[in-house]
This record gives sequence, structure tokens and C-alpha cells, in this order.
Amino acid sequence: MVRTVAAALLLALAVAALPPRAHAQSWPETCGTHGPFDFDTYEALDSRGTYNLAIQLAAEGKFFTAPYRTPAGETVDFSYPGVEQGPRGARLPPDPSVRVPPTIVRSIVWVESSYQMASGSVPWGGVGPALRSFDCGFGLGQVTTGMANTTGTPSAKQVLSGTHFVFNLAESVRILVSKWNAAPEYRPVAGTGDPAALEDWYFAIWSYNGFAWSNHPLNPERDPWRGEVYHCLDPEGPGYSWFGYGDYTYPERVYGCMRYPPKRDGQRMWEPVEFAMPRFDQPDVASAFSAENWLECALYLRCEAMDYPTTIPELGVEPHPDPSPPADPALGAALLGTPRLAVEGPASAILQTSPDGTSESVTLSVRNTGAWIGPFRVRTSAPWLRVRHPNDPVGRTLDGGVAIGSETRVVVSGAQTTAGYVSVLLVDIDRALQPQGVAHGTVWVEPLFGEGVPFRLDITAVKSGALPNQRIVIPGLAR
Amino acid sequence: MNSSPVLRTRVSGKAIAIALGTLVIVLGARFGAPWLGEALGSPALLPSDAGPYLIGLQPGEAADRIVAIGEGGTGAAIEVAVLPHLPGFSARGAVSPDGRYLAAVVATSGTAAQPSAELLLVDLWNGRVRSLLGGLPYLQDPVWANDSRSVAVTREPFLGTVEVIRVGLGGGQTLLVERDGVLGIYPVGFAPDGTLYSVLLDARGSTLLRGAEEVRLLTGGLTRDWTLSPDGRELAFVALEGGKYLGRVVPVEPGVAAAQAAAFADGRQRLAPVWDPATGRVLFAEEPAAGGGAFAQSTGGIDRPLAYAPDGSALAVEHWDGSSFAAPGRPEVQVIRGGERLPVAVTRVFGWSAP
Repeated sequence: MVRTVAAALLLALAVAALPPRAHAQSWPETCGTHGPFDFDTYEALDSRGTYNLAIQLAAEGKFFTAPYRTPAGETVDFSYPGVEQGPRGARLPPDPSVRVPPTIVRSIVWVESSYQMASGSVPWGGVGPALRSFDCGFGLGQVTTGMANTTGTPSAKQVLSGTHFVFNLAESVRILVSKWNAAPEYRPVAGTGDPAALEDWYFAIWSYNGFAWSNHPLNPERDPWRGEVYHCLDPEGPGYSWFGYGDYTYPERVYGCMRYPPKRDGQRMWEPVEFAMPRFDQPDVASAFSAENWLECALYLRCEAMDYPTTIPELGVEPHPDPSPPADPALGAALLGTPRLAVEGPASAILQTSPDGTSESVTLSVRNTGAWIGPFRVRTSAPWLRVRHPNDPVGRTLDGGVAIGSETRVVVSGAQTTAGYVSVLLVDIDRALQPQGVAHGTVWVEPLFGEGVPFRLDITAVKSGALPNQRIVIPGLAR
Repeated sequence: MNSSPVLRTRVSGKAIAIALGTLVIVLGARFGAPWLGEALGSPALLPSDAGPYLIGLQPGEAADRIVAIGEGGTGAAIEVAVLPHLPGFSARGAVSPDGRYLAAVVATSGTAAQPSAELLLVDLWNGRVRSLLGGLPYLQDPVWANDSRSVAVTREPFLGTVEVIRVGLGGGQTLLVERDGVLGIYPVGFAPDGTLYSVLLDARGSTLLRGAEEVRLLTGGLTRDWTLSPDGRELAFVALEGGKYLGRVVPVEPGVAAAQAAAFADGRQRLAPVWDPATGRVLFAEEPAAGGGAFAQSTGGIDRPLAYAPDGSALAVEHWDGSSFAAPGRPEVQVIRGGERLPVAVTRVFGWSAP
């Protein structure tokens, strides 16, 4: 009996010692059934200057005018589709010469990522894991659309969106433009649908975060006295000491940071712009935002009743343009650089794992002999093949990364820098997933922009010691 | 055949008692049994002779301080708990009717763009914090049952589906209402008989629910700030009509006259009603009229009533120093007692506790 009680006691203590919540591993739908991709990226040293310029060029559609083929022959499309313009009933087709107001994109990027392409552990000017949210939003624009891992292998487009800030911003702008162009068929039109008017982007901005009820400005859970926009942590902004980021709708956050630009190192990230928010004290504007109208639009895509004016002459309300001057298109080429990737390492290897789980490994070095950022994809033919950096935490498997040309000083930590960045990859075997006996697999490292040729590493994996007196015969080899 | 078996039996009995006692406590702690907090708790943090306490929040960018301010809201702030949250997302919550607990909804996971909240239970007597439920929308205030043994919250398990669930102090859940294709369901309060009243917002407008049953259409548009009278017979709320916030008081049963309805039919903008427990009258924040407002406008500005002390002797308000709803100015929490106003260093008020 004593033993029984003691056992019960031990069991109880063991139960109590369990982690509070033990869930089977699962991911949000946006991450896909195979879970999040692991990408490396480069974080610009001068985030304000570099990312502002890249945003400007992306918003003006200056980076990509057509799809292109990667060195491995895969076609990817980051081209700027252009925006429709005009009111409901007189809408003109998409025009690639018409830009998205750059300040809107700057503010969205700030609200999404605080101008970070990489995770917080990566220094400015360094290389490391890309910023990734729990629901697989990646990088500066927290690109979620199209980033699900449905096959276990990323597409070239997914890798580029997750590893390179130019591609990430180009895709963010494409997503925002798709929200704008969803009107008038599937979304309301603000004002006259003029893409030059900051006010007319209200519904596209709302949709970038999801056309959700929580972002409805008249949601009863929101305080009507919070002010018309978020203060963006500017002490001069409305409600600074009282309301926080979470108290505002997504459009109010984005417009708020446009009016009260955030600061980094004491410098404004951009110049403030003028605009008017929807005038809910006007009956026709308030009625456009009624519960019935929002539901009709959100659920049934009947959105006409939500159209509202952004010009109210009797009140002196009129839309405002973005005063940002156009950028020099030639700068786009400079931000893309001329990378040329070369992979150093054996073409084949035999790797053996031991019963204690350890694995032999082989090392590859991805070097950029060209200039600036060279993005690459890592693919494997079998789930038991692991590719990561030598010091990566257990469980990280690299799906894509970058190598930096030697003309760029890359920050390692503090004041320590190196000339460029060589991505060192360690290839080994996950014994838990490895088949019995001998198995064959392949690792590919593929440049995705610039020059270079895909690299192939053939692996023969040997699971030793699984069975007593097991004899393994590898054709052509004695072991 | 000798004393050994007897001795073993005696030892086993003690062991059984100790082991079972330990087992009960350990499992209780592990699974958050509500009785455990009561067994171990005492109002150590909040001496009963210094009450009633105003329970409020001092915000931080990544964590909030939950404080209790004794002497009817005029004493020093006592830190009860610190609740970490996503940057920029302050806690929302309500104090239980018995004053023992704070139920808080706090955005603790996800991202700033896609936050996810937990329902936390803060024991105001000892500062203990337990998580009752995760995966909730952060934009909500939990509603306590009258016996302080459970709270009603909403969740959205699927896109377009809203559920109201009752969560017991031990974490047990009961589904109360479920609807698809609606904007939201907002728990308002429990009537004295224990029935939950909620407001359903959908394409028809705002509908009052008793349990899952539709009782009456409140308006054909959006409404907010709903609050049930202490006797459970009337509902005060704010209707958004023509761009204006208008105060309304209606009986929960259709066809019954509301005693105070006429008092708010003057077209003046109003927000945030609360019921005075001493008089049974409802009080709104009112837009100042040209000739002066009806409620406590002697200092200028606008008072948004927040919570009466349990005995009705004090009222916590958000005082805004502006002159209109369009330009409300800057806020400050104040306690009004006997005509006197005292500022309180919190930005949100969750209620009162009188241990």
C-alpha cells in the first residue's frame, strides 16, 4: 500500500511538473502544413536611408517591369502591376506608370515591422534569420500571402520574399495594389478612386491587414475619443499618454504614422504628410460605415453602399497628394546589385549516423564573388537531409539565405565587421527520419538572382548500429 | 501472525492521508482549482480597513501594473500584479462582484498586426495570476456572473463565427451563444436570475439577447456601451445615429415602459452609461450644452463615468478637459466623493474591491 501511495504521489508530482500547456506542434493556416520556412536575410546598416529608397522605388514600380528567370530557370514575378483609377462605374484599367503614394508604404512597413527585415537578434548591417511572425509574415512588409509551406520546399518567389528586402518590398506593394484593385468589384471606393489621393487609399490599407470588423472605425469596442489617428509614439500626437497601438484600427495606425512619423536615432523616418480622415460626423459618411453595409461588403462582396466621399466642399475637406518627389529609376539597379554566387564543397559525400543520434556532416560555403546581396535557395530531396549553419539551434533547417559581396562591410557584432558574408552550410542527417540501412539523397543550392549556377551535392546516408551485427554494403565502396 | 502487519497498516494509513492531501493540493495547483486560491488566499495585499479599493491600470509599453488604490481611491497605489503584453496592447478587464478577482483580457501572443489574447484571473487578495483561456480576441471586456464564480467572454473559432462562452474559475467552459455571419456578440451582464444578456450586432442592427434568445431589436444601427440595471429590468446604451452618439434606456422586455427613457431624448450626444447603485438612476457622459451640462460639469470639460463604489459613495470618472465630443481634450481619472474631485494615477479603471 505504501508503494502504491508513493507511486501515486510521484505521479502527481510528475503531472504537476509538466509544462503548463503541451500542444502537438501545429501552425496557423498561413504557414502551410509543413510549417514555417527558415530564411536568412541581410539587414541594411542604414535602415532609414536604404529602406526608404527601396520603398520609394517599389511604390513607383521601378524595380521589376516583367517576370524574370532565375539562374536555375524558374520564372518569378515581382513586377509592378499598376493601379486602377477612377470612381465606381468609370474605373480605368491598371496603369503601371501610376504609383502608390510612397508615404503610405513607408508607414505600412513601419507598422508591420518597424523597418526590420531581419529578426531582432540580427544587428543592423548583419546577416541572420529573417523577421517572421507566428503566422508566417516575413520581413519588412510582413508578407504572409503566398508564404505557406505546402510542399516542404519553398518556391523561388518565397525565398526571394523572405531573404531580400527589395523583393520583400516589391511583393508588399503588389499585395497592397491588389487590395486597391479589388475595388470596385470586391471592395468599396473611397473618394473618386484617385490613387494620387492619400485619403482614397483608406480601404486598401484596411484590407492589407484584413477587411476585419476589428478594424472598423465604429467598432463599439474602440473608444470614440481615441483621436482620429494613432500618435505613433509621438508625445505631441493625440492620446499619447492614454492610448496605445492596440487601441487603434489598422488604418488609424498607418495614417497616424504618416502624420506623426516615427523616429530612429532622433531622426524622423520620413516627412509628415497632410490628409483628412473620414468625417463620421457627416451623416452620409457615417451611414456608409453602417453595420449592414460592412457586412454586405465583407461577407457578400456587395460594397457599393460603403463608398464614401473624401471631398466635402462645404466643409473645405479635400484629398491630399503625397509630396514625395519621384525617385531616380537608376537607383533601383544599385539596390539590386550584381551578385554572382559560387558554392564550394564536395559533389558527393557519405554520411553515417550513430545510435546516439549524432551524424557525420559535410560543409558547403556559398560565396558571393559579385556585389551586394546574393539570395539562394536550399532544396533537399529527402526530409532526413538537414541543412543549417554550424551554430544554428537544433531544429533550424535553412530553406534560403544570402551571401554578401566583399565590397560590403557586414556587421558581425558590435563594431566587428567582415568584408562580405560567406554563408557556411552544414549538411547532416536527421537519424530520427533516416531510413534503415543505406539511402541516397541530394542537396541543391540555387542562386535566385544575378549570376551563378545551381550546385548539387549527392549524399549517401548510412544508418549504422541499428541492428546487431548489421553489415552494410554500399555498391562500389567498402566500409 | 505477529505485530508486523499491524505496524505496516498504521504506517500506511498516515502515508495515505499525507499522500492524498499532497495529491489534492498538487493537482489543484496544477489544474487551477478555484477552491485552492480561496484556501490559500487572504486579503494580505489589501487590508480590509483601508478599503474600498479602486482597481486600475498603470500602462507600460510591454507590461501593465495592476494597482489597488485604497481609502476610496485616495490612498497610495498598491501593486497587485504586473501583466506582460504585446507592445502597445494594454489589458482590459473587470472586477468580480465580490471584489476578489480581476478578470483581464490581455494580448500576449501573436503579432501587433494579428494579436491573440488570454483571459487571466488576478486574485486581488494575493496577486496570484492564472491563465484561464487563450486564443481570444483582445478587443473585449469580460463580464462577471453575479456569484463571481465565472466570466463570460467571446471568441471567434472560425472566420465569421462568434461564440459567447462562460469560463469558470477553474477554467471549465460552457458555450452560451453561437452565431455565424454577424459583426459581433457583446456580453452585457447577468440578470439577478443568472441569465446572461448580450447584444448581437448584425445586418439588422442591434438586437438584445437573453441567453441565446432574441428579446428585442434595440435599433437598426450600431450601438455601444451597453449596461444592465442592477435589477436586470432596463438596459442603458448608446446608439450611433446620423454620426451622433445618443443615449438610450429601454426595458429589456418589449412593451414595458422605461422610467428614464424620456430623459435622454433631447438629441444631445452621450456615452458610457453607468447605474448608480444607491439611486438606481443611470448616468451618461454628456456633451456640454450651451447652458451647462447635467452632470458634474462645474469644473468644465466632460466626465465619462466609469464605476461607482459598491456603496455608491464615490464615483470614478474619466475627466476630459475639452468642450465637445468632437474635441474632448485630454483625460484624467478622478474620483468624485461628496462633491470633491481627486485625481488618480491610472489610465483604466476595472472596478472596486472592498475586502
